[in-house]
Amino acid sequence: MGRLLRALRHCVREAWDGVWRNPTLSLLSAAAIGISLYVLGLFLLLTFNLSRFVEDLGRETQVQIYLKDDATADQVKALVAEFGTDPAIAQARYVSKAEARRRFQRDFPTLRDLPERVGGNPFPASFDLEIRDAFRDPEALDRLVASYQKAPGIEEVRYDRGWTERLSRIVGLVRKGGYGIGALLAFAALVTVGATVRLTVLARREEIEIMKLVGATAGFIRGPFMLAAAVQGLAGGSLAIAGLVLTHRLVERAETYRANPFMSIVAGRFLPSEALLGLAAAGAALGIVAALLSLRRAGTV
Amino acid sequence: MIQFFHVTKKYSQGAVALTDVSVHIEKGEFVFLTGPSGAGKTTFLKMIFRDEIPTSGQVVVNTHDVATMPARRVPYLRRQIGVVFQDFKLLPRKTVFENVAFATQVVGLPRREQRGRTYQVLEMLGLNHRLHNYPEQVSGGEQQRMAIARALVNRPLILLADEPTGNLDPELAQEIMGLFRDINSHGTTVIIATHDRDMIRRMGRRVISLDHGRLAAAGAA
Repeated sequence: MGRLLRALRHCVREAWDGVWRNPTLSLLSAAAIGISLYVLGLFLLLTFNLSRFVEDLGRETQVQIYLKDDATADQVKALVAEFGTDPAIAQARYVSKAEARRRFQRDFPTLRDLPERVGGNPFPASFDLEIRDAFRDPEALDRLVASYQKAPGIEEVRYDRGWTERLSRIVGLVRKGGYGIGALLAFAALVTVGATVRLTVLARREEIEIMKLVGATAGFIRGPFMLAAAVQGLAGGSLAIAGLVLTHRLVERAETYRANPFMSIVAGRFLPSEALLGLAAAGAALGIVAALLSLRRAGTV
Repeated sequence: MIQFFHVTKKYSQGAVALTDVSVHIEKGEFVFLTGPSGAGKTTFLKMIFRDEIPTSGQVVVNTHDVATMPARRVPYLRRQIGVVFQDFKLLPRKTVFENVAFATQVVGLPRREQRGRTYQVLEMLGLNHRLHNYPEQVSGGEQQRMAIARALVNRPLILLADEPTGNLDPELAQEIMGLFRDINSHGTTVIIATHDRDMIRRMGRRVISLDHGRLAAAGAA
């Protein structure tokens, strides 16, 4: 235990020394990690909000089943029974021909006399189906539509898939783009931190050589470098989080935010704390990986 | 303690440092390694603490074949060997005390023991009035003694010294040799590379002589 504590103390002391021996370089490393995580965080924020929006929209997704005018009461009853056992359907609401006409007249007041002009009530009776969350993806909806399309008494099955599908695709693209740019910047950060570590190793080459000759283990030599890089990464992650909080606040206060409903779609909510913790951890991990790769290349062992 | 079996060392540029060297050094022996510059003395020493690996043949130190030893075991081999380098290898930014204590820190000794052993060895080498000086503030002879102190502070089983008296006046050289003899008398195996024939004659110990990488003679002086 004492040995471990001593090694840890050495590690902390040397890491601290390493960070302050060249504060500009240390700051540069932290900034490089901070910038990459900030950009990644912006995309996370964007896709997080967009995903929520699409999810909310999807919750409103309804499937409409239009009945034939000559559908019998037995056929309707059989359908109701089937809806009751279908795991995909949360609720089925019957809309009679008369109610359909009332809805039309309510939604389009200027055309309220249209039904009479075309001779009575052209609107078919229908069922509004509310779909359970687990069955809301396009494939499940297609299956549902196909299963009722041919049922007796049914004229047509319809759902507004276009919207949700297109939106999920956009969110997917934004997410991929964000990950791509994030990865690119993370690579740049990796190179920057790696270069910093290599410079520190070079500056201390003599000391490291002597350490090796008097019997220092690889861990003893590498530990301080890795700790310093992890601290720089953590600092970078914290900088990124601070930047994201600030950006979100500024957007919320901006005039355009209140004037434009689109803004609340892309930036309405801030990232959950798990995502922020993830960013900070990613910073530390980036630092450690960069240090490890760099130490290997510098041949410290 | 140390065995060389038909050891040959060729460097990548084609230079041959050692050719078919077979030597056996017993535990507790005091041996001089001699020969002209470029005879392979330094390579011979480096093989013992695995700073170099033989191209062919085998080097066994304390029952371990150093060439096939896994990298993670190397630090533990080196902790049993104290090395006094020809160029001292002192850290300019550390004081005399820190340069020596550094070696005890690396092996993970408790803090109190680090300090105790460092003071003890520095006192033994007459450097206790120089504790807080930096290497550039002390004489060549004192730097040499710092290097010896660092090699001894972890109480090694083997002490290797590469031209340890090269920079010293004869009087000091004699004193340092006396010190090595004392260390040897406590059971430490001592191997000293030198081309100071007078010194070797005076000490009357076993001599391993190298010439152009080959064993020229191995026996008593």
